Amino acid sequence: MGSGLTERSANKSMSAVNDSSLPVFETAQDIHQHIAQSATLRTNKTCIELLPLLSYVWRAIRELSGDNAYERYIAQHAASYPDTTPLARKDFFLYQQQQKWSGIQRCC
Amino acid sequence: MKKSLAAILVWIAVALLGSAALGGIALNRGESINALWFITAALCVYAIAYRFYATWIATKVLLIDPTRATPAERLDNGRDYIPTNRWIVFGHHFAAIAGPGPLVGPTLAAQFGYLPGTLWILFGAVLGGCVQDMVTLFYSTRRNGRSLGQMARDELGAIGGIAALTTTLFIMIILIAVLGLVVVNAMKHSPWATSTVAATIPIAMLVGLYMRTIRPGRVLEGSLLGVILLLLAVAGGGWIEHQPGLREFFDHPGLPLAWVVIAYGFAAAILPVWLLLAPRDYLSTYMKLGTIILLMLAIVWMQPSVKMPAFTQFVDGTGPIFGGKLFPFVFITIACGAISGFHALIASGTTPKLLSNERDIRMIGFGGMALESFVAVMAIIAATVLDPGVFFAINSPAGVVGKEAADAVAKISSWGFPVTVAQMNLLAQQMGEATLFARTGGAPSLAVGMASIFGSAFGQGMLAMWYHFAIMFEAIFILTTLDAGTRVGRFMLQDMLGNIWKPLGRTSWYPSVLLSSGIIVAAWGYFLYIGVIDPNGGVNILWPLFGISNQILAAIALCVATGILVKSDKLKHAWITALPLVWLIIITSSAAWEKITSTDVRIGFLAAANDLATKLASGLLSPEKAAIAPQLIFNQRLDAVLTLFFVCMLWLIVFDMLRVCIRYLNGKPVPPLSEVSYQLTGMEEAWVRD
Repeated sequence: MGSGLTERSANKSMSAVNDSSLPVFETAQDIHQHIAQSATLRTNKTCIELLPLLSYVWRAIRELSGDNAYERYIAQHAASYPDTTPLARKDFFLYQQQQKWSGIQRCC
Repeated sequence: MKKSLAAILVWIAVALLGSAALGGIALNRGESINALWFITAALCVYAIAYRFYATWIATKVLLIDPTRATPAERLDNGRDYIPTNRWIVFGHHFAAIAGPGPLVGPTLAAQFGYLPGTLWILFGAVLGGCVQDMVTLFYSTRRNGRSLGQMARDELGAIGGIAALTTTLFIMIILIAVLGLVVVNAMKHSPWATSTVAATIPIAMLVGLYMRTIRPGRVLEGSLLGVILLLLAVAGGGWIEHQPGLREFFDHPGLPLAWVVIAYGFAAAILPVWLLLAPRDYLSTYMKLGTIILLMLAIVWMQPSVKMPAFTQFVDGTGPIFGGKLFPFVFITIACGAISGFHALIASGTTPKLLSNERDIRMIGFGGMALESFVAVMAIIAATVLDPGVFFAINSPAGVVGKEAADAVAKISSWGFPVTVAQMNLLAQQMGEATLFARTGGAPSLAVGMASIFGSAFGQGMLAMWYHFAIMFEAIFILTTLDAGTRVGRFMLQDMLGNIWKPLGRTSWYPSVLLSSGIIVAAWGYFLYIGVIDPNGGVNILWPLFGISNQILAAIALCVATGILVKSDKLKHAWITALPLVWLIIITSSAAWEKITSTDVRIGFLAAANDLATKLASGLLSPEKAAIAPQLIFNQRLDAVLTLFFVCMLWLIVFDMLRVCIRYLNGKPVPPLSEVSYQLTGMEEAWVRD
């Protein structure tokens, strides 16, 4: 998922380069050379490097909050019990909350 | 080689910096001291303890084995056993252990001065609390995530199991009562606070409906909606405060508010979790994490001055907030933040079922507690940056300093902490409150401290807003603990009642739900009621009782751990848990002894009961005091009995642990180790680490 995002943004930034009045590049080497020289494009490059980080942070937030719990459950279910139907999203959510608050979850 | 030399130099620098900061805090006797020294000292102490002590315990004592499959891996079912990234587990674990305790205890203990509390928070945590959490987490992980009570029963015997279970139930009741009292005191005669706290309930329900019906399971969307509504509720409370006709609707004395909290607690316990408890917990978790980060940034940025002296004269036991000498009362007043038995219940609950590798135990067990301890350090900073006169005016009950503002300031100034009525009135006006005198419980003074730190960092014009934000922030997770605690208490009670009559044990049978919820709510409601009618504020009675019971629970956890260490042939390293255990036995037993036998009416439960009984009999009390005196007398005696009960439980399990250890060392049969046998991990290193 992370690498997919990077590729997509890389394509976008390349088309941006083509649309602008900047010289048209023949080969990838030209682009790299230009990136090395141009300050604006260097910022773009940092953006491209930042994207995997942002997507990582976003995944962490989703995981931490339980926002992706259902996706994880489906993945786990498909791997372990491929013959049975998994719970629907709503049922899973209710089951999970019931389960969570049946034990000691919060402290002083 | 070069790298290790650099590492050695870095750690020497950390040690020197930490000692300098600690020395600066300890030896400073000047006017004030920069709060940044506290932060520096704390971070250095945690870093060194984590790098050296925790690593040593993990590798040399517990023999943590990264190749061993954890319960999450072996029993993975995608529901409760799930191998999880360690940062995520850390987040869950920290959110579970960090409640209002580390904020309230240090605030109350600041009456002794800043130094005793700070030192106990730092060293109690790294030598006691962190070790307890980490060792309990480890042993529970090796036992498929079994609970503390089950481990006590398996490893020590039936007596240990029963002691752990009953103590847990009682501590829960005392905890909920004292937290309820903190909320009631924060809302007393404050339409702004009351309306904001009241608004959190429909907001939580709305979020619950959103996450259940409108967008099932979209936790982040629902939470974002809720957080925005909560912030609007804080602002809306300010509007209500200035609406004559509307503000009276939320302006109440303590007793009616207590009844509302009790009724609310009962309703929350029987409502489905998705409607109120679960959504509010999401909101309180984000509020808690956000506010703690904000507070830390504000302290580092503003570097406020700590104005409280290192020690006050109240180390002699005459303190206005609660009676009792520095030893042992600072150690039981600050439980959470230094060592808290409740954590052992979390460390033996959900967390071990999520660990993907045993290697993470050091970071989650030890590191999680170190972070909670850091929250307690920030709470002590927020309490001590206030002028000491203001701090005592807010926290001293009317029964000690007098009902009239003039009397209170005269008395507090006579202690050497100057404060004036005008100063207090101005402060109350700035905070949007009618008065800040005798606002006991710790929440208002913490909120004033936080508001003044935030105010100086982000603009003074918003003081009232910050104050009520802080109150809302405390109230929201106190209410979460109140609901969650009532539910857990209900389940434990149903479990016990099920032994008497089977249907009572069915957690979904409505008559049993109503009965057991009613019993639990009545139990904590009783203590809350007495605390509210007590002219001395109630916190001074309930908080020590809570501290004693929480520390005794910690002692039980350490007993279990010590017993397992001895049975695993690690006698020579058993001191890592035995040392904090001995210290806890000393402080809880001596605190209990004083609470029961002291002739000082402000310390001894029985002395206070007898004093009041004599006054009642000789007609010395005013009619209104005489009316409540019989209840107060009964309560003090009941508290004495409860304290005695807690200490008996403690000694029972200590002797049980010693019996098992001695039998084992003499080669006699003991309950066998219940550790699950070794299984090689099949998980690739990169799988969860990504």
